[in-house]
Amino acid sequence: MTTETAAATEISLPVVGMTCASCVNRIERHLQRADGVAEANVNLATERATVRFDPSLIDRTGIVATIEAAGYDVGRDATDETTGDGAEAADEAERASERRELLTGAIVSLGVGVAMMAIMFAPGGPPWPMMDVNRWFIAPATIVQFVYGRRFLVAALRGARHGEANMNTLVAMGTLAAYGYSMVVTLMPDLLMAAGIGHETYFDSAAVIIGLILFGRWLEARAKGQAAGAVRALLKLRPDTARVLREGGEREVPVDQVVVGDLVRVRPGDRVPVDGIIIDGASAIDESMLTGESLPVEKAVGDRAIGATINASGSFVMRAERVGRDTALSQIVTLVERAQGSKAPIQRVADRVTGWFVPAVIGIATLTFVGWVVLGPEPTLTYGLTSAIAVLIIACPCAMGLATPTAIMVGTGKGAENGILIRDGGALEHAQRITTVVLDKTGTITRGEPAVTLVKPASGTDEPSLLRIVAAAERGSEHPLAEAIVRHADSAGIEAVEATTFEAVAGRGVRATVDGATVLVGTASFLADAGVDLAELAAIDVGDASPIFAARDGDPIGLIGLADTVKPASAAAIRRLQRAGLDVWMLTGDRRSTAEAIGGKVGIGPERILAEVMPADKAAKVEELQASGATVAMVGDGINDAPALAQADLGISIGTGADVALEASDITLVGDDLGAVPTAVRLSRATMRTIRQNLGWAFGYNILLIPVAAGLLFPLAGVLLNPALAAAAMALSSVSVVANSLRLRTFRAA
Amino acid sequence: MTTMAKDPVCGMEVNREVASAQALTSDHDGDTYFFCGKGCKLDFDEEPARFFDPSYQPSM
Repeated sequence: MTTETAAATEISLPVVGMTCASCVNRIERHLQRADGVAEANVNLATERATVRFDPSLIDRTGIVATIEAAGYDVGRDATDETTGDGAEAADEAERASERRELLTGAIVSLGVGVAMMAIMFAPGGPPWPMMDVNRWFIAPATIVQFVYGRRFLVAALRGARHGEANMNTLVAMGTLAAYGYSMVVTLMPDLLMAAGIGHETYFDSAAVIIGLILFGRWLEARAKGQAAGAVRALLKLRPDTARVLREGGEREVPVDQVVVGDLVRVRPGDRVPVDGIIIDGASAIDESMLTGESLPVEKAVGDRAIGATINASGSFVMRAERVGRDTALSQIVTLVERAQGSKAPIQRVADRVTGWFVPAVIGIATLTFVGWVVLGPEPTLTYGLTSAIAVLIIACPCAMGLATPTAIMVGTGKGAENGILIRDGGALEHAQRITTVVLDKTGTITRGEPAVTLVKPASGTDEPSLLRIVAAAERGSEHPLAEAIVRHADSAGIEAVEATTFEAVAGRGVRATVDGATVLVGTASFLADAGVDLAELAAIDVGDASPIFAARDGDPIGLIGLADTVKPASAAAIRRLQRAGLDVWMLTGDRRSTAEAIGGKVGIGPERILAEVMPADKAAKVEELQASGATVAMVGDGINDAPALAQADLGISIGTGADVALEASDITLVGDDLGAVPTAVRLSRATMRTIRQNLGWAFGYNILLIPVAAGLLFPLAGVLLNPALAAAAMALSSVSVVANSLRLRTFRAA
Repeated sequence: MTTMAKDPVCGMEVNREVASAQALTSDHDGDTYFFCGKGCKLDFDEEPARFFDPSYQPSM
């Protein structure tokens, strides 16, 4: 009995709510005290308890109860995760079944059509009498016409009831004409024989036409699925659950149960569940799926965390501010969906053209038939019918209908991937026409917040000790300049010390006790009034920076200069815009000298700087540029620039994802990087170029082939378009248009 | 009032708001103590005096 251990079983359970080594000790202590537990190992990092136990004395339930008695919960294992949104899945299932139906219809119809052709055009003539063959064809032809081709007939009928003729009308008329004629030939051969018409039928043509058009629709549906992929990819980013801190500890709840005000813990590797403000902890967050920016962004208390971004390093707690439909991600998805469903003005032109195109084609088909019957060679009726059907089929403006939507879907989806949210097709069209880009300075070209640009210690002091003292004095202040100084000192690795007393004098500075000495930090007049001699420091040239002076026990110890700094990507982005042939201007309410200093850094000359412009006058300045003939894109941060954004031909708002100022702008850049502006211009140009190519192909194709189908070339060259060949050519044009749009998927942000 | 407090059991810095939201606080002799997690609070509640002993070493 001595060495024999009871048959030991081991289980590993996920434990929820552990925060520190004390928790680990506590759980291990409780488990080891339990009867039947041989060994318990709790790991804080993996949040698992591994327990070896004697199953005759304790079971899983008992172990779980022990852990719960210690004050913790046993979580669900990751394997029993449930899947997401039911409505979305149903939607996708419906689209998939539609695609299957189209593909089945296409394959069956084409199969039937091709088999019929093979019999009719067999070398040496049909192996059976044509009269019999025709009768065999009736069943499959009827199935294709009225089962797989039903959608065209129904749509044509519905259109006809409203007095509309669309491409379905063309398909329905063409195939019904072929089918009906063939039925008459088959069932009443004597009637037509008397009129000198043979036994040739067109069941095969009707089947092939229906098959090819169904195939085109299938391709279109597939392309739509792929273009909408960007939106689905965005939606997939949303995590299913959130760790909410509520009465009684940390609890994992479905993300749709998180309410505004909840405190949510986000651990390393987690996706941020909703939008909120960090109140504890710090981390680097990968926001690339929203901004396209690949480097993780450092975030600390007071910073905003955006739902669906990835918490890369630290653990933090945030207060939920926007949940559900209000999150930045949901807004982005809505915006992308709206843009993809929208019509560019160029598409409205295409729709109008289709409106008169269809009746015109029906007219031409009628004329063709009459023309052949009156003027054509024998058998006139056959030639007339064949040619009229060919005209109807060739003119089908399917490709035209695909030209714009596919390009817009792919283009806006591509934009979303790169943090460029395009409001609608109209925005794309405006974007490719702009000649001039007006950039707001503060917050657009620059960071919009002060940063330390200059540290000048007085003689007898050095930089680290100046920063150490000033940062200590400023640490209690919430002034943006003070925060910038503390941030600078922290990032420079200066030891953080606390002031023992602190007093802020509004608009002037702070008085604090640091290391037992009285420290004054503030404006020159604040220190001068306290009797500090600033002669040495006042002589220092601070350029454009705002100087903050510091003194210890009445002696000046140095000054720190703060200025708004240019965002790292601004200069390169402006160069790219200029290289793209755009006239780049800067618009600011700031002093001209400051504006020109910034302009010099980013390559905007003084003649293109509109400085000292009050917010209310910004729109007027844009209007002036427009009056001089420019098509203007205005780029601003969307708050005080809103009127100018609305006035511009294209308003582009730039800012963090959570602040998307959607309403005033045509394009919203999710990141705060100006580099997305030239990318947006390039993307819109590429998309519009694709639309024009698509329309050109679709229209040109119709216009070129209609006369051929009508038989105009017949007297000259004996060329006539077989209806089946016309259908094949038309399907190919749809395919080329879709393929051309999908080419946009290769678009790369530079 | 600063936002951070020290967990008397494990010695971790704890955000008061975060601890309060989870009811990870205990009142003892008129003072409120904030904890990083359940383990610390339960340990504290079982025997608060242990953690005021100057010789007590936080477990981390």
